[in-house]
Amino acid sequence: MLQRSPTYYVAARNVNDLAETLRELQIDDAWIHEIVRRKVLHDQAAFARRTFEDSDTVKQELIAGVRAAPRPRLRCGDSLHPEVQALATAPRVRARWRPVPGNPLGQGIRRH
Amino acid sequence: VPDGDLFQGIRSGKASVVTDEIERFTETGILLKSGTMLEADIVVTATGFHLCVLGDIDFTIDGKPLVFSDTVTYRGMMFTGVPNMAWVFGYFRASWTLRADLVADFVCRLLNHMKQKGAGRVTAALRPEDQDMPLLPWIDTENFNPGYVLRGMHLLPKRGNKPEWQHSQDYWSEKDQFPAIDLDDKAFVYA
Repeated sequence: MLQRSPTYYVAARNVNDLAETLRELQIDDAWIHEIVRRKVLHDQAAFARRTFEDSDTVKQELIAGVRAAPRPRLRCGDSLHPEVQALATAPRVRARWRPVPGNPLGQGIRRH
Repeated sequence: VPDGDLFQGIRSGKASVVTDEIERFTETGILLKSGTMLEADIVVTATGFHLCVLGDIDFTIDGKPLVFSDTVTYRGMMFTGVPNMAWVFGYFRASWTLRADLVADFVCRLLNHMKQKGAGRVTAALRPEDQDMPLLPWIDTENFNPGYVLRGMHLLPKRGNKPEWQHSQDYWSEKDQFPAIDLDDKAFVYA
């Protein structure tokens, strides 16, 4: 596949720690929904802001996240390495980050 | 990803991802801007789509064709000189429906306001203080720059350099701003 600019992956588990904690505390489901909704929106807004203000750090964090995800033998190809990509201009990280719940793509690539 | 076939392809070495741009096609594949040759038996283009702005409907206002790209957007939902129209343009980075909700709530509030005023028409208009405002493309390419937006930018309305005259792409701010929009602001002309 040929892509014009790199794609960045957020390697994260498909769980929400805050929701888990609130469930453990037997908080009412409607409250949990509203609290977690706000937390997700708040965190996403903060993340989007950081991609403008500190895009280089965000890039490094995203790459580190993929590297740190379970399973050794990491082999990111050039297309997952913004630091070696002349095309990895700052604005593009704003458009090209994708959450990968459970990180199946990362696992697939690492097994290669 | 149906059956994980992409992952299997990558794992087996059959599939890979290259980040580059096309210089030109050659007899045997694609010459990339980096100078690398990408050999290919078949090239399947998936280079995005061309925007159909307003669904390619030929709108006319009082018999005059609407040139949508000549209008200026009020918060990415109303357009100068276009009466009684709001469109729903969601967020690129957050759920589209978050903004659909904000716009829908605003339109309901606006309709009630018009009912109270006995108005049958509302049109967004630049205010006296906006007359010298620079008019810019729909979105700053530093903010969002995929090919389909760049290719369609000339079809989209203009934005100004004030929050009222642009689509901010920021739900966290707009969730507070939209309910606070002053419906008697001079940006709304009622008739």
